[in-house]
This record gives sequence, structure tokens and C-alpha cells, in this order.
Amino acid sequence: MKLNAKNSITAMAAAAMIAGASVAASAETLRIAAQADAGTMDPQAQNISTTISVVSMVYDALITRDRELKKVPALAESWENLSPTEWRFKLREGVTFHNGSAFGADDVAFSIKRSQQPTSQFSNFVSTIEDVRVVDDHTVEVVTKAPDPLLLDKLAYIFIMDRDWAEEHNVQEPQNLRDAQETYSVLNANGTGPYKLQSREPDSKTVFIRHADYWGEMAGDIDEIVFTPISSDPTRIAALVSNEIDLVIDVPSQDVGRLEANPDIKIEKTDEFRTIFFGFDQSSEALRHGDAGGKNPFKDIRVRQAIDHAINAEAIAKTVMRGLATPTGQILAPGNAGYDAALDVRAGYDPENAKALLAEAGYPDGFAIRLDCPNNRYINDEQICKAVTSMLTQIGLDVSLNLMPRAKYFPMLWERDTSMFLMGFNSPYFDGMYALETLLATRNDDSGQGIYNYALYSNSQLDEAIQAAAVEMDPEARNQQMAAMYKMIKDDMAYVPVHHQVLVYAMQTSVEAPVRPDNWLEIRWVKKD
Amino acid sequence: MVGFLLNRLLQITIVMFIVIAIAFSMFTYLGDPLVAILGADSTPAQRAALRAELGLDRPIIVQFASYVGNILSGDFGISYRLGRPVGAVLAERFPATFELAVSGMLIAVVVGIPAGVYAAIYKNRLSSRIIMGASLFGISLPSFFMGVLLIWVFSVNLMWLPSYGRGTTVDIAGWKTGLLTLDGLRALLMPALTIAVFQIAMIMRLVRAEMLEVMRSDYIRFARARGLSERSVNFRHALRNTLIPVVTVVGVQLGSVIAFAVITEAVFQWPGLGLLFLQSVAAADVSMMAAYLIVIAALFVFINLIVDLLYFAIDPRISISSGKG
Repeated sequence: MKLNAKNSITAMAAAAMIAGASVAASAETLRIAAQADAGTMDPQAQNISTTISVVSMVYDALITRDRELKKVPALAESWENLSPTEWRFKLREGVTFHNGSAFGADDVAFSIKRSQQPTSQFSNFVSTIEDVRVVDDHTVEVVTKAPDPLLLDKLAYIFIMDRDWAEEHNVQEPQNLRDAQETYSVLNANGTGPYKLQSREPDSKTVFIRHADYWGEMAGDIDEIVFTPISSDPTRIAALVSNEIDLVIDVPSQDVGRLEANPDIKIEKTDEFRTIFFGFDQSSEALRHGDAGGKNPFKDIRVRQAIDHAINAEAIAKTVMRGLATPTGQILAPGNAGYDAALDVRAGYDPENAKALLAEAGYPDGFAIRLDCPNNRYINDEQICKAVTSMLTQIGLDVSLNLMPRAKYFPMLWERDTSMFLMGFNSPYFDGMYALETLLATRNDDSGQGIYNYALYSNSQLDEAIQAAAVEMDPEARNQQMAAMYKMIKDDMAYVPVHHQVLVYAMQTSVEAPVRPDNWLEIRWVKKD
Repeated sequence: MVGFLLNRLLQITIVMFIVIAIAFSMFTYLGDPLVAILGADSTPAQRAALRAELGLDRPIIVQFASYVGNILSGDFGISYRLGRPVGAVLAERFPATFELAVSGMLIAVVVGIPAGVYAAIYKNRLSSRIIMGASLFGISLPSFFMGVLLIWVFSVNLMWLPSYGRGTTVDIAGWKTGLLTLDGLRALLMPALTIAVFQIAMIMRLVRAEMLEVMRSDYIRFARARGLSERSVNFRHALRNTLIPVVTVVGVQLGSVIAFAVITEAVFQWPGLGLLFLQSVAAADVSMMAAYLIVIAALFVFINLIVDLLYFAIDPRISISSGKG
């Protein structure tokens, strides 16, 4: 009977072939697969790279980045500073939304204010903006509360919506959670971008077609884009290998080697702007989770240095990450403003030295500690923590590993209910300032300083330097200030860095898709022959 | 009959209340929905505001009461991951799972029952032994492995069938079906087969065992003694009586296939309830997970009820007043 079943499949499959259903798509369609779907088509509801990549096919921002990652005009044609807190933007003329209505200054003011709503995940990006003034149809002025050297970088993430369309469909806010009603902008979109949303089936398939009147330049000549989430790793890769998919933007690390050996598949890689590091509660008098005789060893820099020496980051990169990680000595990735290559050197794997430092700090027999770690947030997070647990055991610590899904992990960190934790962070805007302000500045929930400072690290000298650099409008001076601050925190071993993740795209050889280090798939750069 | 039904309805109410209570407790213990809405990086002020907006700052018992009230009025709340009403999303995904489950079970019944009958009637033949051996293999093969194996053979190597998705669907009064397009049928083949393999093996073994049991009973012997043909004995008398427990099992299995097609749906990116559940778990979309739990529980309760009623219909020996449960 088994045999019969198999024969009948073969027969049916053959019939399907004869009927002329073809697997290959036409040349002008690009089929993209990712691990998860974009959560929404709303441009301000979700700050997740997959969502940003998909939404950016439909929506434009005022500013974009070129292939060298420099800021260049998009919907804003030019800009100038009237004063350190006032910016005037001249908008591009003759641009239309996909529904045919004209793009203008009202839409810009509306979209920026929409991004400031509580349910916007981009409210941090526009928190320095005091007011947006419409001067005329194609001129807007943005007023900031204090000088903001990163305003342009932040505006590159604020997609512009059609105000009339948003009002007509009652989507003036990114999410309406009160009324338990469908938010129109979740499934529908109306932007000025290179592609129009043709159809959307969440978790299944989203189709885009070229916007004929697009104002900008495109590298390729792709008429149609089909975006498909395929959550199962083997299926996603099988779909690529069997030419059902042109481009995979979430390549499981275990498959990279095999795909590289496949002559029909091309691999693109770049160092991602995401650094993986360990943090420690440096505020409590005694360990919250662990036992060190009523003391908190992490307040002692020698203990933090010992942990740094105990972690073999090269081994983790090679075995756990299968080469798809670059060991690092600091928490800022190359390519960001403020990055200093001289600081990006690890102290080196030296367990003997680590033991000596522990003894010197008064813990010759180590201490007991709970290591908190997410198991579904960063690439191989669980395995990294398992490896580090055994490395720390070798220097005499008694580590109990506490693995949690991210939905429980982050609320725990919010409460600062941890003694030692794993974290991954990418400073947005291609700039190191955000990490300094949120990870390292002394926690102040009112001002937003140190909101992700789960270590409760506090260094008044650093706080002052951050205040000064935050309003420094001269890029050169700012970069130097930031490099000095990163040296300060490295010397103080505020966090123990492990590596930067490497980002991998896999594609058919006919496709050209450059990888941006912030994992934003820039569709205007993609080509298919 | 009325007493039986009333008794059953009382049981159902108790079961569903317990399920709703468990589903509700997911909100408290399975992760914080704020992570799904605001992302991992949010300020305490944003979180406090949203907590108040969603009513998550109210006493737990008040939240539960309002949750039960909403469920009773058919409102499952909003999916934090998708920003859409949970009920609408469930309704949208149900056809995919239903078509997959029904076609999988259909293959299983069409193949499994004849195979079981064959193995029972000719229990000493070598071919029967081979069939039984193969079924052991089918029962023990994990569906994940089966799915990947099919993809490897028919998508990667032969390039005959699509490895993911549902193909082209046709919308008939809100029910999206993949059964009316060639593309949709091709996409259905491998997932349905993956589901069927286990079920074929199970149904076949069940039919064989039941049939052998029935063949030993007195009325079969009497039928033979009356000189009825082998064919008539086997099919008219034996098979018919064999089918009673088979109907029960197929019904319950259909329910469990709908509920637990999670793995198969994940392997083939089949956009049904199982995949939805898996993605909701990954995103800590608790309102969706809770609703899924409640709906699946309701489905099982419903199927059990139907099966019990079918017993009355098929087997006149089961007395109505005895209230067999």
C-alpha cells in the first residue's frame, strides 16, 4: 500500500508537470524569503529590521543613504540649519503617493507627529523634536528642544505617510489597541516608494508591484516583488536551492558553508551593527542571584576583567557561530561614528590571569552566580551562554545558567532583576551616541538616559561627557569625544564584549543584493538579470 | 436523550470554564505582551502608559471577569503581534488548516481502511506482513523528518512540487480554498501526505485489529455456516461492524490533526492555525495563544459530542438512557 501511495504521488506530480505549471518565475519578479513576516505594513508601528525592510519598499523617508552609507536627499531635496535647533527642509516637488495624491509639507508634519505617538516604536527617534512648522507646500521647519546632531540620521527612519489617506482611514496613530479593531494601515499602505502594495496575506505572502511614477533611481528593473516568510530553516533553504526563491535574508548559520559550495547560489556577508556582550549588576551591595558571601563581586573591576579574560571569544566565533562572528573588544561595531579601531582589541583569553585577578579581588575560590540569557533573541544566544558557562566554571565560578524566552527575559531586565546577563545591541543612526546615552549613562527614567542600562552602571565623569557630546554639532569634535568615552568605558570594563554578528544573505547567482550592516534590505540597490 | 444532552452540556461548560481560566493565566505567566507591542527596547513611561491603556494594571480578578465576558460575546481581543482582532485572524487561517487536515485524513482513510482489511483477511500472507512492517515505520517516522524528506526529494531534487505555501487560492464567500487551482493542489500534496502517513498506519492497524476481533465472533461464524459468500461475510458483516470504533478514532484524529498540524504547517509554511500558533508563541502574542487554546478545546469538545451522538446512530445496541459517556 505504501508503494501504491508513492506511485500515485508520482503520477499526480507528473500530471501537474504535463499541465504546464512552471516552477520558475518570470525574470522581472524577485522572490524574497525571510524567517518571519513583517509584522505590519504600518510604517511607525514596529521597529524591527524585517518590517523596516519591507515597509521601505512602499514608503520613503526625507533622507536616505547611498551605497557608501552617506546621508543623501530622498523626499527632502535639501536642508539647512537656521540655528542649531532649527532645520529647514526643502521638499521634492512633483512626487505623488500611490493613490495619486500629491506629496507635500502637511504629510511630513503629520508623519513626524504620528511617530511621536505612544504606540509608535519610533518615538525615541523623534523625541528631541519640539515642533514641525509648515512654511509652504514644499517647505517644513523642524524645531528641536536642544541642538540634535543626529536629527538627519533619525529622520532617515521616519517614513512619510499621506495625511489625507491616514485621516480617511482613521489611522492617525500607529496602533489602536483600545478598540480591538483592525488598524487599516496594518494591511494597507499608501506611500511614495518604489513599489506599491498589491496584496498582503500575513505570514503567507505579500506582493508589491513597481510604482511607475517613482521619483528615484533603481539599480535594477524588477517589476514585481513577492515577499514570503518561511519559518522553517530547512524549507527556506530548500526553496532557495530549488529556485522557488531568489533571495533569502535570514540564512541559518549552519547552512552557510553548504550554500557557499553550491555553484548556483551566491552568498553576501557583512559585519552587522550588533554587538553581543555581557553585563553585570554593578549597583546592588550583595548579589541578587548568586552567593558571594553577602558581597557583589561585580562592583570590583578586577572581577569584570577576570570574566573578560575567561571568555574565549575566538573559540565562540569559530565553533558556536561557525565563523559568522567577529570577536571584539568593545561594544560598538565598525562603521559607526565614534568607532575607534584601536579600542577594538580583546584583552585576550587567559584563564590563569583570570584566576589571579579573582584571588586578588578576594575570591580565590570563586563565587556562585546566576547567568541570565535569552534563548530566542540573538543568533545562537543559548549556545553562547552555555559555552561561557563552562568557561567561567574553569576559573572557579559556580554558574547556574538561566535561559528564558525573550518575552520573559526583557521584562526581567526592565526590573533590573539580574546579576549577570547577555545582551545584544546595535546603536542606531550609524552612530555610537545612542548606546552611550541608553546603555551607559546613569539611569534616569524621566530624561530617558540609561533606559537600557540594566547594569545600573554609573560614572559621573562619563555622564558629563555624554551631556557635552549630545549637543555638539561639529562632527569631527563629536567623533573624538565619543572615541574618548568608549575608551573610558573599555578601561572601566563596564561591559564585557564578545563579538559582532555577521549578516548573511543568500541568493541566486542572477541576483545582486548588497547587505547593509543595519540589516535593512535596500530594495533600490537590488538587481536581477 | 435529553438527560444525556443536558449532562453533556454541563460537563462542557465546566471544561470550557477551566480552559478559559488556563488560557487567561497565560497572560500572567507566559510572558509580557508589552514586549510584543513595544519591542524589547521601551521606556518605563511608555510601558506604564500602555499597561493602563490595555487595563493590565487592574486587579487580576477584574481582568479575568472582563476576559470571560469578552469571550462570551465572541471577542477574543486583539493580536499584539498582528495588530488585528484575534477572531478575524483565526477565521482567516482556519480554511487552510481544515483543508489540509481533511485531505490528509481522506488519504489516510482511503488508503488505511482497505489496507487494514487486506491485512486482516489475508493475515498470513507475506504481503500483509510487509504492509504491517511498513505501517510500523509510518507510525514511528516524525512528521518533521517526513516533511523535510519529501521536500528534499520532490522540491530540491526532482523540482516537481513547491516546498512551501499554499499556492494560488480562490476566495469563495470568505473561505479561501486551494482546492480549485492546480497550483493549490500541487502545494497541498506534500503537506497532506506528511499528515496522512502517520494516520494511514494508525487506521490500518486499528482496522486490522478490529476486523480480526470481529471475524472471531459468533455471528460471523453463523454467517459462514449459512453458506454466505466470503465476500459478503467480509464486507457486509465484518467490515460494517469494524467501522464503529474506526469512525470514533477518525473523528478524534481529525480533531487532533486540526489542532496539532503545527509541525507539518511549520515545515511547509502552510498558513493555517498551527503555524499561526507557533509564530504567536515566538512573539509572545498571548491573546492569540489563549484564543487558540480555547478554540481548540471547543473543537475537541464538539467532536467528542458528535462522536457520541454518532454512536447512537450507528450502533443500536447502545441504549440512549444509559448515557454512555
